[in-house]
Formats: sequence, C-alpha cells, structure tokens
Amino acid sequence: MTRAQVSRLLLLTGGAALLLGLAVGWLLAGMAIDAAGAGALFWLAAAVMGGVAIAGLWSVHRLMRGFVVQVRDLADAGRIILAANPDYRARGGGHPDVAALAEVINALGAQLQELQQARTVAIQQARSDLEEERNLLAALMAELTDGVLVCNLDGQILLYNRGARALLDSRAEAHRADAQTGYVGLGRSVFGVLDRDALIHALDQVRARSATDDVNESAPGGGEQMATTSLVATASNGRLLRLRLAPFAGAAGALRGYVLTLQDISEGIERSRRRDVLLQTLSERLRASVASMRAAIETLEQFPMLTATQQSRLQRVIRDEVTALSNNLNDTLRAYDSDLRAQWRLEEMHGSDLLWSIGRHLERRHSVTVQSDASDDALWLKVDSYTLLQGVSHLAAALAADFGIAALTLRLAAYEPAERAPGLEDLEAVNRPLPQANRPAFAALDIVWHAPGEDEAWQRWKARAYVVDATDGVLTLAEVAERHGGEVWFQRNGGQEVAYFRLLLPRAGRTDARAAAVPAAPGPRLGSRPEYYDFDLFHQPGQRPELDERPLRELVCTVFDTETTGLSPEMDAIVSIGALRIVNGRMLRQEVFEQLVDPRRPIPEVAINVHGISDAMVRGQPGIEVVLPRFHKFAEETVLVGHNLAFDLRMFQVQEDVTEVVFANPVLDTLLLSAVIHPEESNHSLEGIAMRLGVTAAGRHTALGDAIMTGEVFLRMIPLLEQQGIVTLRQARTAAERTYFARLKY
Amino acid sequence: MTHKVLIVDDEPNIVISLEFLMDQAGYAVAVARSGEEALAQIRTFQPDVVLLDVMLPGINGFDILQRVRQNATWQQIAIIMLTAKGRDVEVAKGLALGANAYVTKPFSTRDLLAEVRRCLNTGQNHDARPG
Repeated sequence: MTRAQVSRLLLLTGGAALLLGLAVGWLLAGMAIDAAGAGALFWLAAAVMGGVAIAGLWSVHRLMRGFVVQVRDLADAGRIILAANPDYRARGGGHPDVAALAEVINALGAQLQELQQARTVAIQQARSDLEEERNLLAALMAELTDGVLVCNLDGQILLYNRGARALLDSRAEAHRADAQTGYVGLGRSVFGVLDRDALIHALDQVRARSATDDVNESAPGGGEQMATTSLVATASNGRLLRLRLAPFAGAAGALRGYVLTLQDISEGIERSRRRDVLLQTLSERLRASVASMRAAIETLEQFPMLTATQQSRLQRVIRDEVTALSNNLNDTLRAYDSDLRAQWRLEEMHGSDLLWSIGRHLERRHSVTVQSDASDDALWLKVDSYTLLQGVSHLAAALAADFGIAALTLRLAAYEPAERAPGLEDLEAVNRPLPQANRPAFAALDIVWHAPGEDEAWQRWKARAYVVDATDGVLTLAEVAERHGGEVWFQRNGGQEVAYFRLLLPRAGRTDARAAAVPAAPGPRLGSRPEYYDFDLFHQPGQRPELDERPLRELVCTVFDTETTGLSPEMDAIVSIGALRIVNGRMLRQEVFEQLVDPRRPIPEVAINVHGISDAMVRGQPGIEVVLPRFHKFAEETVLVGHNLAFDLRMFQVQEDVTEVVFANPVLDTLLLSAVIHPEESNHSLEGIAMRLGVTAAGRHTALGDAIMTGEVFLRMIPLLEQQGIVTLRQARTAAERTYFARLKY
Repeated sequence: MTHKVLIVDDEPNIVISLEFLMDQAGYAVAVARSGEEALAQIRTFQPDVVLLDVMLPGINGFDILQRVRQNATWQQIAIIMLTAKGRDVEVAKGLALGANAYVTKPFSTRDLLAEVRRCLNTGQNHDARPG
C-alpha cells in the first residue's frame, strides 16, 4: 500500500466519522426539542459528535500503526517468498486478521516450496539425458589433442576444450608484467586470444562461399555442407597456429557461429628452422675441412721433396680434419634424426590397449584367432595406431591367403638392445651396448605364427609379403616401421617351427636406468572433462552498445572482491583480489581469478584479524602493477559486480598511474540493488542481504569467498528486480543510481 | 694359417682402402660388389670374417646376414656390419639378426682392425677351428 493510498483512507475514515457524529447529533437534537432544554441537548450532541470524531481518528491511527504497517511487511515477505527465497516466512503476531493473513501467506509459501521442489526433481530427471549427451561431447572434446573452440558470430566463446586452453592461455606466463595476453573463458571474446583480422577475413571468405553455394542451390545435394576454410594466425601469446574454421547454421539455415580447430605449428616451424641451421653448419664445416684436406694432399703430391717433418705435419692436418669431420657428421645426423622422427603425429598409447585393439581388429576382419602376450603392463608406446593396425592387418591377410594361417600371437615387451634378444636361442650374437647413452627407447612388437617347412621358402615369402607388395596402396610393415622411426625384421626359429616379424616401436618418454621401471607416460587421464560449456550462450547478442539493453539474466559478469590493508583507498593498499565469472545466470566456479598482492607495506593487525592475510603470505607475491593489469584482462568486456564496489574501484583508480589500466566496465553494486529491492530495510550489509535472500556464507572474508557470496546474492536479486520491472542492465543501473542519490539525501 | 676376409661393398673408393688395410694386416682378401656376388663368394672363398655393407645392389646386407646365420655350415663366419646406416634401430636390427659387430661409417681404420682381430679371436677360442 502506498503512502498516498494510506492518506486517502485516513481522510475517508475521518470524514465518515464526522458525518456519523453530525447525523447522530442532529437526530438526538431533533428528538429532544420538545422534551427538554434545547441548549443542554445541543451540548450533549456536540460532545457526542466530538467524541465520535476523536474515536474515529484514534482508531484510524491504530489501524495505520498496527494494521497497515503489518500488511506492508506481509507484502514484502510475500514478495521475497515468491521471487527469491521460498524458505522465507512472514512474521506472525499483531492484529488477529493480519496474523491470519500471514498464516495464509506462509501456507502458500510452503506450498510453493513443495511445488518448486517437485518441479526441481522433474527438471533434474529431464536433464539427466541432456547431461549425458553433454558429457559425451565433453569427453570427446577432452580427448582431442587439437584445440577446439566454438564461437558465435560476435566472437564469443561458447565452448572450448583443454587443448584450446593449453594453446591459447598464458596464465602460466602471466607473471610477466606485459599482460598483453588473453584468457580463454566462456562468454569471453575470441579476439582476446586470436588475431581479429585473420578470423574476420576467414569468416568473410566462408560467408562469400556459402553465398555462392546458395546461388547454386538448385544443384542436387548442394548447400548442405557449409564451406570450411583454414588459415594461419598468431595467438596473443605469440604461438603460431593453423586454424580450421567450420561454420555452422541454425535451424533456419542462417549462419550462427563457427567451430575452430587449432594446431600449433610454431613447433614445426621451429623444427625446420633447426634443420636449416644444422644443414648450414654441416655444409660450412664440410667445406672448411675438405678445403684443408685438399690443400694438404695437393701439397704432398706437388712437392715430393718435402722433409719428413713437413710431410708428417701435412698428414696430421688431414687426419685431424677427418676426425673432426667424422664427429661433426655423427653429431649432426643424430640431431637431424630426432627432428625427422618427430614429424609423424604419434600418440601415446598403453601397450596392452594397442595389443587389444590390434587383436580385436584381426579377429573381426580376418577371422584370425589372436593370443596376446604383454609381459610388461607399464609399457607405453608412441604410435600411430591406425597405421600400425593397417600394417598388421595387411600381414595377417597375406598369411591367411598364402598359408591359410588363422592363429597369431601378439607379443609386446620392452626392447633392450644391450641384452640378447628373446627367442633367439640359436644365435650366437655378441651384442654390445650402443654408442649413445641418452637414446630413445624402443619396444618390440612381435607378430608370431606357427611356420613349418623350409626356411628358404619363408625367407622368399617375407620379402614379397612385407616389403614389395605395396602397389594397391596397402601399408607394409616396412612403411609402418619407417613412420615410427623404428625397424622391422623377420625371424624364424626352424627348430620350433615358429616365425615372427619383430617391429621396433618407440616407447613414450625417455628411459634412463631409473625411469625404466616406471611408465614414462602419464597414466590414463582421469577426470579429463572440459567443465567449460554453456550452450545457452548461443542466444547471446553482441557487444558494447546493445549491452545496456540486455537482460540482467544474460549478462557476462565478473563478480569480485578485494581485501586491503585498511579502509582508506588513498592510504591503504590491496592485498588480495578474488573474482569469478557469471554467465547466463550461472556462476562458473572454474573460471576464477584469485591472487595475493604484495602491498609493499606492513599489514596492520586489525586488517589481519579481518582477512587473515599476513605479511609472510604476501612475501614474494606480485605487486599491484602486475596483478591489476591481469585482473583487468580477466574482466575485459564483462560487467563488474561487487558489493559496495565503489570502494574497490576507488582503490583501483588510485593505482592508475602505476598500473596503467582504467576500469571502464559497466558496474552493478549489490548494495545499491538491495536498497532498490528493500527500501524499508536499514541493513544492506552483505551478510544482512545474504540472510534475507537465503544465501549461506562459505569462506567469508577471503576475497574469493566474498566474491562468491556477492555472486549468489546478485543472482537471487535478479528475479526480485524483475518484479519491479527492472530487467535490463540499463534499468538496473538507473535504479541503482536513483537509490544512491536517495541515500545521499538521508 | 692365414685368415680370410671378405669385403662386401659397392663403393670402390672405400674398397681400395679396406683391401689395402686387410692385406697389410696379413689377411687373405676377397671383394664382392653386390649381394649375389657376396653369397657366391661366401660359398667359394669361405671367409672367416665378412665386412658387410647394408646398401647393396640386389640382396641387401641385412638379408645376407640373415641367410648366413640360417645356414648351419656358416655359423662360424664372423660378420661385421660396416655401413652408413647408423640409427639406433638399425644397429639393433643388425645385432638382433646376428652380426658380431656393427661399425658405422665413417670409422677409424685402427678400430676396424681391432674389431676384426677380436672377432677372429672369439671364433678361435670358441671352437678352436683350424683356419
């Protein structure tokens, strides 16, 4: 009930009482004219009239205090129950009618709560299917070694995987003060991490191409597949990436966004640069050595009369040059070899997984019984498993076709060249350790079968089966070995009538004496989920000018808090910043900014008692001139949300000279918004609001803990604001501004 | 008794030096310039040591090695791989197929001679075979 309505009611009641009094007085006066003295009656009537009027006014006053205020509280309670916190209950007591109404409201609240719970359960059930699909997609994305980003047409990131983050993020290097690098995050702009011009150019190309496709739509089967394009672009962290851009369309066929796959090619370029340097060095040294030797030899030839000393000096020249050249060549080829070998994209794979997949493939494809024997369970390989599968498959097919062999044994073991190879009992090989100490390690994959008959026949067959027979595009084991930088050979034990091909495949990681026992590769990647998806972002429109008209529910916000050495922005300094992101009404707890700051001054005891951050804790932490630019980057293109954030912003402002960053983001203050929602309340502290809105405190008085609480509070405020018709960012800001000035006047 | 060394290589320049070197060391020397020729020489010349290149016209060195090792009558022949193929896996393959030693080019002649001598001694000690 508004104030105007109340005063109108007051006036009405007063008037009614007056009229009543007059009427009674007049009635009594009329009745008494003939009975008694008119004067006495008049005074009686006047007294009655006055009494009635006073009683009327008094009861109106009672009504106002006891009834109207209580009703107004009830309305507030009802609003909170309805919009924010169904657990909230109206206070009882007061006027019996009001108490009854409170009971009704509370009963409704209880029902609402029940309904909401039932609805939550139903929603959860309905969601589980969707969740399953999402998890599948997430797992798929996580397993990709390439980076994947999905963006809408405004360049906002809707989805990303671990690979993309590893390629684009530079948080690890962010301690450097340059802070020129961006963050990968939901709702963040892709242009923060990738070259804007390159992406826009690629997108234009795709648009142009799909436009021409539309023209040719009449062609059968045309227009279904949208054009993709690839480009090379520099990431803001300096990496050179090959991007593949695949657009996708909405239901109506219009372009909605694009999928980017990222590959790091800086490594490849670096490798070819190294190779160039190697070849260059090699040829230069070659020229120099050959020149010296040639000169020496020609001198020896031309002057047969040289003294013995002169001759031996020239000969030493040749010998020294040759030695140097030999060493050079060895070194260079060794380095070149590792560069060459790394060219193929080899994946790390668990040995027994490899055997299992080869075995299954052979059994299905060639109806071959396969027995697997992996002696070392901790063996990890670096393989191109598909190529390998093809090679082995080809061999199995040849064995089946030529000899009707339908049973194979796969054997996998670490290969130690220094030891005698297993299964070579009949050979007297005097194996000596290889010259290099730090060499890549190999594993031997044996494909074994029962091979009766003449040795010579098998030798003839194997040359055909695995080396030559590659005309129809089938991969031979020799090619497979080559791609792995390995080797392959055939061996036969005539006594046991057993033959096998042995494939040497690189093991994952390096082995030295200590690491040999431990799997060099990382174990299975547990919990490898990109937690980072939000498909609702598809519906998010563009940046800046429209931002103001966007509903609060759909904003990308950075909610943050700071801890300081004291309460004066001019005199005190920041010791900690905590922040996290809100996207589409969800708080993303994995997109977090949390950093201690060295204030470069002692932290007073009083402050330590509040936030628990001591001098020892900030020692060695970066200063504000490093942290604030990073936070600025984190908050870029988002709305800043905080509680009483004017204080924090003032803190930032004071530091502008040092940090060289200005926070120009739109801001929303939960303190002011609370005053908009509950103008009657006097307590707008974060705790007070949280209690009213049913937000439980966790980890308060750390910057991040307070930021989380502020975020929760903010999210619960959105429906309450909407009830007042405050839906967009602009409306919220205007309302907050109004309360701010209203508060100033008090 | 003079030991016999067979040099299998298709590069004449290196053969000149090797031939001279082995001759000076007091061995009887024969030369083969292809895989087929090598197998024929092993049969007729019956060397004690073979210096075997991998990259040969026709049958390659690894194949020759394997055939020698699979022939029971040739078990005593010491085979020294002498090749420009110097990657770890190639060395591993050579040793696995039964080479007595694996020497990569370029090599020091002194080391090679020492290797030949070692192989001959090992062979002598093992079966006291009369040359």
